[in-house]
Amino acid sequence: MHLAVKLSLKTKVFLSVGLFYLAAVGTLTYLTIRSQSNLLLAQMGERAKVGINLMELSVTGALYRLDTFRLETVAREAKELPDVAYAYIFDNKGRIVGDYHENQSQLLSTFTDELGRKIIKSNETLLDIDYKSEILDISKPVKLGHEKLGGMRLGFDLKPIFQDIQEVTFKAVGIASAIFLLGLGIIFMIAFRMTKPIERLTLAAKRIEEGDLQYRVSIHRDDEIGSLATAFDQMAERLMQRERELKQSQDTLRRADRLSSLGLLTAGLAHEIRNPLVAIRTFTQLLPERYDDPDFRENFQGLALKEVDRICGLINDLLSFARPSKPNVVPENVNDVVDNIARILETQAKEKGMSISREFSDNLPKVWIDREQMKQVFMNLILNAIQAMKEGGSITLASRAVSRNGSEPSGEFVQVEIRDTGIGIPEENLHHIFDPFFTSKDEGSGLGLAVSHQIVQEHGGFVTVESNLGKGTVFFVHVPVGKQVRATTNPPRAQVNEANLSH
Amino acid sequence: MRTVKKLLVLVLFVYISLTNSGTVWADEGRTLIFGRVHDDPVRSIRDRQEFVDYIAKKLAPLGISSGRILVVDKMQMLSQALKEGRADLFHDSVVPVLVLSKWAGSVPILRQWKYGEADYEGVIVVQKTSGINSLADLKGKVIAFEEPHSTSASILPRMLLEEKKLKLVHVKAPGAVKPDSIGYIYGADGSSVNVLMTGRVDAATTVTREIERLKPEVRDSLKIIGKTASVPRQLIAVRKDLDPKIVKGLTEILINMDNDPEGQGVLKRQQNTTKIDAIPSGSLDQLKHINRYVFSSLGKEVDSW
Repeated sequence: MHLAVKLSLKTKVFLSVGLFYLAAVGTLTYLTIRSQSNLLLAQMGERAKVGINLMELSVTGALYRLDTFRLETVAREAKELPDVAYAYIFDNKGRIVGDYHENQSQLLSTFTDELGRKIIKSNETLLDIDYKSEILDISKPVKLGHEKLGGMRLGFDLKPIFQDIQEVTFKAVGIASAIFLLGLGIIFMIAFRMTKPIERLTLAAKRIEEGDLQYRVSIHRDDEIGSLATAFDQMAERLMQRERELKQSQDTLRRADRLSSLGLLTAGLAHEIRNPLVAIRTFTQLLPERYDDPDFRENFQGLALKEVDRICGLINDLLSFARPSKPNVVPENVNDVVDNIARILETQAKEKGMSISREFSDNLPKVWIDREQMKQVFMNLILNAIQAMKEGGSITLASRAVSRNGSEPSGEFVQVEIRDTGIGIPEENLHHIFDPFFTSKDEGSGLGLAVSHQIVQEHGGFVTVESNLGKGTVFFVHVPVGKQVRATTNPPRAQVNEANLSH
Repeated sequence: MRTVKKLLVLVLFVYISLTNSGTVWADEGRTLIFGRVHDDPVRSIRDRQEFVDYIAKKLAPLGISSGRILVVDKMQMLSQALKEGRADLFHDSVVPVLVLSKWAGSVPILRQWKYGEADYEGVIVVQKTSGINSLADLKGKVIAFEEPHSTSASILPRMLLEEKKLKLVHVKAPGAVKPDSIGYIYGADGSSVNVLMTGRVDAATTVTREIERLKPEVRDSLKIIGKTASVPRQLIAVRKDLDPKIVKGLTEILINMDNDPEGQGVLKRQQNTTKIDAIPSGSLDQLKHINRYVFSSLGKEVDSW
């Protein structure tokens, strides 16, 4: 079973250092206890060696003479040594010839235990600790000249030593626990102090990534973290400066794009304005002659007002398109925006023998958009469609609610389709159509599609294009349903990667 | 309960003595056994094992494979061992060697220069403040000898005093002594001067070397009032029925030890011996004289050694 537990850096630092510290304190404690235990046992071993060596001084001569009275006395005297549990003296046949034991005399018997049998055969001093019975057994052969006369075996009671070891263990564990807890507290403080600025840096990075370029870490420390924070703040400051410059550049580009579009609109608009003016002029010329004709006056009034309103409308549309406007994101019906632009361009299309048809969905949800910016998008795309067709042809404007992948119904996005029956876009150009200043036409700045794509992106949407060479091109503008909060504008990314290109 | 335990220990002693009769005495034949009369077997063996090993190694061509030391408390026991072939050789001062020659037929073959001395002598010392100026002044006084069989600190001084027609009376402890006699007590080896310095006796016997080893202030407080005849420092003797080839080989090895670097070292560590040589012919008469004294004058006292 895989448990994906997401831990914070502070927790990781705390846990890893804490575990290492626990291991270190634990190991040190264990080694200390073990060292102390070994020391105590070694001291006991040394005492035992001294004891048995002292005993040897008395035993050797007596054992040589087999003076059992003396041997028995020596064995009993061994009792005077501290913590002696038993003392045996045995001859070269392994027979006990002098002994002291709290319980029962073993005189004339031999050792029956495994260690005892080993002791009898051994020519060395043997030291053995029986942890079960808590006895330190030391034995030493007694030699004189080349002859092994027998040996001695002493048992020392280790209970006092084990009690000391237990006491040492308790103390060591207690001290180690206190040190561990204290250390843990210090580790926590260090981890907190170490990771707090990193958390602030992380938060700052996130805020800046979200567009809040005003955010600063503001950590003033005289160490690497402080240097990093300062560098981060400086980087954010420069980023904000770049953002401002970029925004200015974008504004300039958009303004240029608008002016370019306006240039293209001029001819159509002139024609659009001239027609009503001609009608008004004609009526005005006829007015003196037919002033008394009430029908004429009524028609003139109606026509003049209608035509003037129409001109005013066109001029207002033109002004609203040409005038730089402040960002104003409000819920809008995208059909109205598209239709508004279509109306402006309709005359221009008709002059070229083209038709603009509308296939808007009636039940579109409103989308949060900046109307003026989106108008620029649709202006660019429809103008492109007009320019893509030499003479004649049709432009279809449609809208629908779709999912991210374009399937219906969903409602995640409102999709606006701008379809033409023009020459199409060569495949090699499809990858570059959203690049700034890229154009395959003789006229135009090459900014239209780049700016449009950027605007749509700023609205949280995206643009895709499909094209068949010689048959036409269709652009799909996707605008998300629901408010997309964008505090500032990111620079446009590689357009070809953003677009779903199919043909 | 304690009585039962004592009885048990007694039984044990008897049992072990019987069952070990063939063990304490290592197998003879191939092993050269060096006898020693002393109450401290540990010191006796540790001091001599290297010496005996050296001899045994040199005698290997004659079938000797090892050497061991037999330490006994009494001269009688060593005599018995020599008779039974359980001891092959031994060394000691003149008197014990003469006694064992008498008892067991052992044969003195060489002289050992113990402490670098070919010969030595006993001395009789008194405290300078005692007012005793001659041996005759010891009448009515008590003198401390060392072990009864000590050549220099017992037998030779006794011989000296008796040659001066001074009567010796053994006393159990220092006390009133008749004015015409000299009372004497025995002490342990090297202990007589201590007894003198503590004021328990009026005179003590020792050897010149021991006097020289005393602290200057102690030495200066003493006065030598008599010196014994000089005798060989130590003699080496073999049992009477030891293979003559081995005796011959042994004699050659011992005499040549001081010419062998290894042998020199062994000798030096063996009571600072510098050499071993033949017993000077001039000493033989003196040895006979001492022998006569021991067995005629001491009588049954010798039997208790």
